[in-house]
Amino acid sequence: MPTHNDEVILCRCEGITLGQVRAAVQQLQPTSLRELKLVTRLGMGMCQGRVCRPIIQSVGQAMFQDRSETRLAYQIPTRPVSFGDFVKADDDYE
Amino acid sequence: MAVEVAVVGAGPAGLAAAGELGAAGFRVALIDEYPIPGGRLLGQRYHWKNLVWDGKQQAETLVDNVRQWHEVRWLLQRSVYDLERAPSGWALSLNPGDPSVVYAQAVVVATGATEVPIPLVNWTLPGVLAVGAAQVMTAVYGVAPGRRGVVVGANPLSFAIAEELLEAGVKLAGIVMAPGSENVDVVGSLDDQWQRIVGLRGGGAWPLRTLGRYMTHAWVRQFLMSHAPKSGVPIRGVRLRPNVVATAVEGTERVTGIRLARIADHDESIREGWSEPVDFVCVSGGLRPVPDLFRIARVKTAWVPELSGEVPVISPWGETSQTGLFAVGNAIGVESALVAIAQGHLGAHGVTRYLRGQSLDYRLAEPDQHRIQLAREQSPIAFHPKIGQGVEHLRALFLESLGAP
Ligand SMILES: Cc1cc2nc3c(=O)[nH]c(=O)nc-3n(C[C@H](O)[C@H](O)[C@H](O)COP(=O)(O)OP(=O)(O)OC[C@H]3O[C@@H](n4cnc5c(N)ncnc54)[C@H](O)[C@@H]3O)c2cc1C
Repeated sequence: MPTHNDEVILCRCEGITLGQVRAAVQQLQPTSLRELKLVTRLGMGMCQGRVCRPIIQSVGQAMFQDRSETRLAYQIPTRPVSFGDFVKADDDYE
Repeated sequence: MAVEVAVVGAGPAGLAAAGELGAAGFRVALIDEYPIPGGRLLGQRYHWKNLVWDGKQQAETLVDNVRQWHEVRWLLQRSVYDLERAPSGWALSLNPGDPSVVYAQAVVVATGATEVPIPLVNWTLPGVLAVGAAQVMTAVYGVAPGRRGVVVGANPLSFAIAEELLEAGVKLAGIVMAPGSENVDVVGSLDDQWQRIVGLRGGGAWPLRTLGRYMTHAWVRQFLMSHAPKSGVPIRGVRLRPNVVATAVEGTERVTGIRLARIADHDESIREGWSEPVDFVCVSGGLRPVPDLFRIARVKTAWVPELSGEVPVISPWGETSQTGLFAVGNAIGVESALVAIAQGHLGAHGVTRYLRGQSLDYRLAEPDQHRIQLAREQSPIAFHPKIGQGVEHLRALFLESLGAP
């Protein structure tokens, strides 16, 4: 079903298109989904993958035969947090 | 703040668990990031066995039950963004703070599932939304997402929500299929998509089940689906268009149309393309459990396709590989609200035994497990035709983990 073209946006926060991903793969030759993420900022925006993770995982499978759907890490904070709250939580921590 | 149990998520699973724990006399913190408790129940409304399944009302009943227990503290509009071991059990970080940390001897994670998006050309235009967002707008807030829309992606949720939209007086150009390509393949080939809706119970999709007996044969399915008329086949008022694929959203300032293509029978290549006017587009790639808090807490997880994604390996009492951390509801596999409620009860019973130092022998969970199975059979909607296999797989992984240190 060849219906996606280069202009389709995969990561909405960072505005990364399929064309940019293909170009990065050709020019920089990342060897894993994690490396692709680091060179393109795919999935590294405000949502931290909460919207685009399934899309990015499917790219990883197709481009790197990365069959492990669980490979990409989850990081804290899992939701956007203001610095003020972050510091306060640290103070309150026993 | 220190409590005996923290319940994360006030959807049907978390509410059911908090109600049982309140009744057992525990000090409970019930945390949800949304201002209104009820989770995804709030938007559910469809016909079922000559009745109307009214999720909002179901949620109110569950909420009233929890409200009678004064030892349950409600912490709404707060997200849990970290979950760590603490000397007394677990520490949960909340945002916004106040309290910024909740200490709990045991935790029930009932954080539900999230929607899978479908990337389309121009899908960042205003007027493109997730099908669940259209459900919340229509059923919770009484706001129509537009006058005439289209649903991209066919799955049980698409049918249930399309029916809700039609009932609210919104027009639909039907449910069309999601595109794929060699590099991005979120929902699979056309036949993968067809297989997922054939033989399913639920929402408006029941005629597919009647036909479904024959459609489990690949050639019957592929013949019928690829020869359906371009305008689709009506399924309880919703037009399913199994051989039409969305290729792009059209518009400059906002959505004005959808670009569609007919797929050739033999090789799924494009045969013809055309545009239809719509003012909103719902993308519907299905649901996935959200494993973030489990992964942060270093819980053992597994990818189980029949449960729709990555789920924690749990004991028949709902306990994860980390002691005192329990999981219930859609977070352990996408199923209907009735199943989530039954799982909430089971999790609460597990936590009660854990806190009272009683046996968590898995054979003792049989009666509760039986109630979950009954709920599964009675549910108005099933999200995967082989849920039972997924549940068995998860149980096998648990038994395997008992052997390993
Ligand atoms: C868009 C959508 C539509 C659905 N439609 C139907 C339908 O029509 N029929 C049907 O039977 N099922 C439907 N489902 C499945 C539905 O998820 C279940 O029916 C049921 O609601 C699951 O209950 P739950 O309590 O496990 O999770 P949910 O109802 O999803 O509740 C989870 C709650 O946890 C909260 N939460 C999540 N993470 C955090 C966090 N980190 N911190 C604080 N709070 C958090 C959320 O705000 C939410 O209130 C739908 C699911 C979705 C996502």
